[in-house]
Amino acid sequence: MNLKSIFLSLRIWVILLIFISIFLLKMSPVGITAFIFILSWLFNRNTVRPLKRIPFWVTIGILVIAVPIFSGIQDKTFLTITYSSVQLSKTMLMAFRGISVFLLFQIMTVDLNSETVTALFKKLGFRNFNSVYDLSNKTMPHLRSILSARVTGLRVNWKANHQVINVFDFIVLLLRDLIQLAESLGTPASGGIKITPLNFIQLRKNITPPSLTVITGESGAGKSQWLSQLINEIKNTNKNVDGVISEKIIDQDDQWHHSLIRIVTKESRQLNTMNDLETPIQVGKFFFYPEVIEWGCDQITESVNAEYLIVDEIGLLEYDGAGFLPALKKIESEFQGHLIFTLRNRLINPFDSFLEDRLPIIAGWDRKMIYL
Amino acid sequence: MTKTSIAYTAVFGTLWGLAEATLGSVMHMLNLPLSGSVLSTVGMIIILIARGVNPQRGSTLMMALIAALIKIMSFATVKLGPFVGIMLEGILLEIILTVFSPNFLGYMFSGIIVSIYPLLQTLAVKTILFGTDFIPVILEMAQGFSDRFGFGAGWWILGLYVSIHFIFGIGGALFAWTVKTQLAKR
Repeated sequence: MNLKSIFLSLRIWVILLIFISIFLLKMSPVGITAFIFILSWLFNRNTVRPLKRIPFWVTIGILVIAVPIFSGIQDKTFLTITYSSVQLSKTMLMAFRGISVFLLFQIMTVDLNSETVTALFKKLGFRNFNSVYDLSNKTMPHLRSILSARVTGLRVNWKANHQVINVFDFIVLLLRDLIQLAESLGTPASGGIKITPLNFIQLRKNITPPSLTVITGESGAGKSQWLSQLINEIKNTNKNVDGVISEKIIDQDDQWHHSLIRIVTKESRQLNTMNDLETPIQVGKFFFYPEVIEWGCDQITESVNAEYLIVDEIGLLEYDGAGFLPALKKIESEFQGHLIFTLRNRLINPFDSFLEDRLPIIAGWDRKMIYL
Repeated sequence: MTKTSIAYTAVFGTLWGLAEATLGSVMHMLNLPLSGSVLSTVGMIIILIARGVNPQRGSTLMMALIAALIKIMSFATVKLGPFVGIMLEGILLEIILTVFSPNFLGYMFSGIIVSIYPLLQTLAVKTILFGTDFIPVILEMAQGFSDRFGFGAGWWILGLYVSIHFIFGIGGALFAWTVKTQLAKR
């Protein structure tokens, strides 16, 4: 901004005029304040709008009414109330000055917006400001959705029992979600915003069931932990979640097996072993118990009325026409909720054709892939 | 700042800004008293939690900047006051948490600062608006009130007004410490 543009700026002239008027306020407080008010209104009507705010007039009320009544020499009376005329003159002048100075600041800052301030700070070269600011814009919708979901959960819990601990839990859970969000944003390999279990539930609300979600990732990516959190979050929303999840149990340093667990009953059966078994079902180093797979199929069939049905996991057995596939074929025409599979990363490529060949009804549902 | 630290700053700064924008708008619309103190306390709690999980120097100041920008975006009329208020709070707490670290002592000092700061800000703003006679006039009024009603009534009212601010500040700091402890457990 050069000297010429400063002199040509209307705002500068108005500010100068108001500044001088404030110094001359004692000559005619009412007249000069009225002049400043009209000038501000003509410059920009938004400058005078905040004068409607009650807190501003509370202070003026205290100055003009309370101060003369309770301080100074009470030399005058109005409707039997004694007051100090000296104090009244003093505080009236202060009130007019307050209104005038307020309008002066309004003229100076009425066009202040985030764009101009952001540009200023970018120009000043604040370290990391650009990164933080850009990331803040990206996280805003996720924050809103997390807040919205947690507030809904609080309402539900509050309806069930009116306890203050619900509010505390709401705050702790909200902050935990935000910490998770920040962690996922800060992970270099993420390449973007990871979807949290809570975000997933919020997003699914906008999808008419039946739908399919596939959670995928490398071994050790955290699928089981994500699922576990998802189950808790679904239960917090008082929705029905069922199905089967598999849990890795370490036997020794280089030996482990998986247990299959029914979500609702928490009944658990050992699904496989690394020890040699007389069984036709082998995948890699694991030997599967056929009776447990059959039990798993029964659990999935029994879960057909759940709002969220989890099958952890789908793999080579199902691709070969076995495993949990018979149960899925049984329920695919009946199930009306949100179906969730877990799937290893390396099995993603054939997944579409597996669905179209083996589960054509499910293949036609709304589908979402979540990469962990 | 590491990428994680930038992420924490962005997330919690945005949360603070949203809290100021939404809660602040509601409180101003309803003309609720002590809204400045309430908002300062909410901001302090967010800062203390964020600094606890991300003890990066400068992060609090950056959070304040993000929050202040979001506040300006939301506010239609008065802008300078809230912007300066949020930035000052950020600067003060950045100094405290850099000197004391986000430990219990740091939290308590932050609570004391947030108790005093809204009072000082109110006095400073009112003095700018109404002149240097503002504070003497209020003190005269308190004395006059006490003389009229006895029992030092005027001073008790002023004392109550100051005490409420301290309750907000120290209470907020203790609450933030409790939440931090719970987060560490879960």
